[in-house]
Amino acid sequence: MFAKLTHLLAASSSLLLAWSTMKLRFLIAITISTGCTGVVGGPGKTGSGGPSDPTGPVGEKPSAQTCSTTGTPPTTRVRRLTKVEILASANQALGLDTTTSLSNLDADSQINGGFSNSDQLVVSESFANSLNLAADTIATQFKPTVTKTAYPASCFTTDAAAETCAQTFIQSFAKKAYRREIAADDVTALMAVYTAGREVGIDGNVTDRFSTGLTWIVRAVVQSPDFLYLPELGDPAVANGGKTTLLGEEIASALSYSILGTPPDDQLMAAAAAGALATPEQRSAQAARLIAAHPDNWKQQMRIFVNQWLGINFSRPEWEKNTTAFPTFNASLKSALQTESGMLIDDWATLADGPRLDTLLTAPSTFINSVNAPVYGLTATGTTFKKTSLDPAQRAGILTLAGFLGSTSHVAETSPVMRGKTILQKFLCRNPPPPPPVIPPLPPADQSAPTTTRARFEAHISNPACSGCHAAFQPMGAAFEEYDALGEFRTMQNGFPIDSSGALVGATGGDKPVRDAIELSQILSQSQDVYDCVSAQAFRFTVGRLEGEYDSCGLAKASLAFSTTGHLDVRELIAGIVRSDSFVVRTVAQ
Amino acid sequence: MSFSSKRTRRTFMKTMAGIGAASQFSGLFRELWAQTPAKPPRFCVLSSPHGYAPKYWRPKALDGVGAPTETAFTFNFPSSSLAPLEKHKDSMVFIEGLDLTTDTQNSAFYTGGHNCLSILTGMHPQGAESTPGQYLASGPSIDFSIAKLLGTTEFLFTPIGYGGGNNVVGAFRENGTGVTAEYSLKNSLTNWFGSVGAATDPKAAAKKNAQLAVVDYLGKEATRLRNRLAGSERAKLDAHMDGLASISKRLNTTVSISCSKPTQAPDGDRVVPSGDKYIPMVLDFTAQLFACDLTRVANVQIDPCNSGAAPWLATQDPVFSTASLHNDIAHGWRPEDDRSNKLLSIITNWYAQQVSYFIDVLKAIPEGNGTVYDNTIILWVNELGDPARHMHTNVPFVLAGGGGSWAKGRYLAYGVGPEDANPTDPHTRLLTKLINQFGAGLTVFGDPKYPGEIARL
Repeated sequence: MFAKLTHLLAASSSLLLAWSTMKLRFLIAITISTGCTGVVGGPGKTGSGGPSDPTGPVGEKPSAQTCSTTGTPPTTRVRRLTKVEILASANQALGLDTTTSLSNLDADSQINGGFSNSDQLVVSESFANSLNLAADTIATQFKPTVTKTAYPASCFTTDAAAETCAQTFIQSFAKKAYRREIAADDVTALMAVYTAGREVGIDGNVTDRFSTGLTWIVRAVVQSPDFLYLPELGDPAVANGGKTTLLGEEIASALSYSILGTPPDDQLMAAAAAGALATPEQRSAQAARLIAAHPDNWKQQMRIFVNQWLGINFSRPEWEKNTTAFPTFNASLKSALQTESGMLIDDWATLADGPRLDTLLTAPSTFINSVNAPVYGLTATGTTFKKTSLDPAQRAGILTLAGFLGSTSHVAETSPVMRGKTILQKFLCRNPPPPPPVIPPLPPADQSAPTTTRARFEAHISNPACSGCHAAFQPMGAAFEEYDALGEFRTMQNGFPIDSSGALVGATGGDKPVRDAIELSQILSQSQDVYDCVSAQAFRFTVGRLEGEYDSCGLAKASLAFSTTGHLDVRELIAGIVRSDSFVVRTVAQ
Repeated sequence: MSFSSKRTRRTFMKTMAGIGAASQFSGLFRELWAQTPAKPPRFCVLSSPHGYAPKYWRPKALDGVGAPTETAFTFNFPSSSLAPLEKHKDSMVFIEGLDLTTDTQNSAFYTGGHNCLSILTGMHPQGAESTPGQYLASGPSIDFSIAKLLGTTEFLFTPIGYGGGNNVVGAFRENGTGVTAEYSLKNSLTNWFGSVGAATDPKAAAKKNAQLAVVDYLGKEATRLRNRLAGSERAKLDAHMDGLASISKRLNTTVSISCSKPTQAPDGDRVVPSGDKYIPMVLDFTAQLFACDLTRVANVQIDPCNSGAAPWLATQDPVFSTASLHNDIAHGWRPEDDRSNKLLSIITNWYAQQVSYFIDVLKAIPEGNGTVYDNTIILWVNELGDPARHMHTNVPFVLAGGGGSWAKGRYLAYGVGPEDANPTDPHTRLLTKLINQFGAGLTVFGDPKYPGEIARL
């Protein structure tokens, strides 16, 4: 579908931008000269918090200083773990590395280039089957750990004694896997699996029957809904339609998975058991502790967030670059660029002055080795990546690095449309209008009369029917024309000088012309609209759903704190989100 | 039946070699077997994206130059899109000029995107394209419905390793929600053939009991959680329980011990092995499922609807040296531009090779007095007519296989309708005709505005 973006068209003369800001929905009609009829903003998720367009922070919004939460809390729900979270959870519960066993698990849907840790993930037939297979492999991995040194000697004497051990195992293992206290019913149900499973063991061999029985418990637990879903159900005594606060153990999981992508650590579970996650201050303090205590998990989580937010994805077909256009492109270079991209985010996530948005968008440095250096016009030796300063006139911030630039280009040439649309959606939280039914396609490049990509697009959209919609995003994409589809800096294309002039369009205060992507990045890093949008993006990632009316005040407060006292530190933004009522209050629906 | 029922292993292997498929599944057919013919037929959807170039797709008169008639036509002419199917044409029907019954005005979908939901459902899409949870059809897809009619678990596959998003949705349930396709052949091998041969394991019964105990436990846990949820949250658990039911059903499937199973299968990740190597393996696998009667319905997306990432095509012909992706070529198609017609035709020809190969394989598997092919209906679809403008009108369809009540060996041209939202030759009528081959007895499958079965077929 990626190339469809090159064929946006406008049909008439006014652009209706329908946006809602934190659920305060209103319409603003903007008339632009050449016209386009469409609705900016896509249909939002219909959730219990009310539907919300994933649209922008522009417009009226609650005063963060004076607002209070309004609307109905979202309904009780479950959120399925992502593949990465399942892996971390299985590893922690079993004390094994199950990476290989889980490698064939179905990949997560990424919602329209959005976030995978969404409450829209489901256990499909295909997923259930792939997990069923993976569970067998995990069980095979687990069985050798059932040794006479790891378990009491009595477990290996008689079937009856082994049953007691199996019950003990369930108490311990299922508690870790389910991230909650284990009830007698849980033990009974899993013992039925154990007694069926031990029959697969060698007849008359208590040791084998015991260990085999345990492997079937493992199979059951790692496929269980209690393992796969994060419940947000609250107090079971609250009647349908009533308001409930999440249980302590539910808050603990929500915190840990959203911040680290892993199950709660012992300290967090202890806090949950002690009722010490109820207040906003307790939750934000735990958030800060988790980030400091588990830096590797935090870095991985930030990689996921930044990559999914900005659409950096080396698995996309856009990264099968055309080797005629880019003779040096090969799997090794792609791999190096991917490593660079990941290391940059890791480094940013743990910088001494914090992972600041402005740093991400403006820092003129990246990680270089001998393989990726030529993309940046540099030379380097060795395969070890080193943090390297880049020419600030050519590079500043993640938007000017290969990961982003190549992900938002076609295989041979750039796409000002794709790049501009990405800025519109990811930094201003707006969607362009959908194209009309009949699309005049972009003519193929005329090999006999080469020109610049920009000139081709401009000629194409000079049609008034096109230019209205394209004006909503293409000036932002044009600013990136100094970078080719691989992310290399260029001043000429096909013998013609590059024109990278563009503009930030659609932000409060009117359009702002920019000379290139560096200036655009700087403006983005200083825009309150962007701060609000990034806050919304972080909310979607942290909470796993789109924002609704109920979330508006809490999100406004989080955004304000992020952009003022928080110094644009993403940790402060996440702290603000976990402090909000949105994180813990639900309406019971059953 | 017009097919030889006397094909030998030698014939089959020769066919394989002739096609040049380095299939890892070739060895599976070391033992050919016969099964009692089953009725009703099997059903298999094959799909590829991005429209067609009518100039080279349409057959010509037997002289290779003039206009074809309904029963006298050939694909033996330069640049023919369907030349690989010439040898099978007597068992096929080539249909041109049908219009998808879809709502092109639905702004929540890209043009072309709505066709993906309409092509097999015969109905307008609902929801929105932007999120999988809202990527909804208005009713079931025909493959899903036929699988339900036949009481079989459908094999639904997207071969190229798509990791997520709407591209992995291949079929739709009655409520319009998408059914996710399998995309790792390696996983599919164990999914589908895991219980094959289990009868020789002395602990097979105990293992099956343990597996069923696990599924029973999972079902009870899912039910408990389901009962604490409502609406779309409850639907998540419903989908989960569907998945558990399919595992349970598979565990309880008794498989003929004469049916050998594939011994290896690659993941497939778009790159390794590349599609031109991987897709024949997938088609072999599909044929093997049919041969073992593990399913009666399959839906294999050779490339998913609206995708068009087929980088291996760059190596198929020198003209692709500057244009790698099917998607780009489709958008560059112009009816008056012969080069663009040829480019698109080369790609369609590659897909036709895959269809032809699949037919070869099915024809090589004896069944009763004929072959599996004799008792199968293959429907090859794509979602567009004019690919550059994402048109839903004048969309081509191809039928193959000995199943179906219609006369074979025909080219049926329906009217080339206007490019608007009102179909003149609605494709729902083809779908209705198809599902009624399986005893559905429906007046309409799809949009009720267009009742009846397709005329002339």
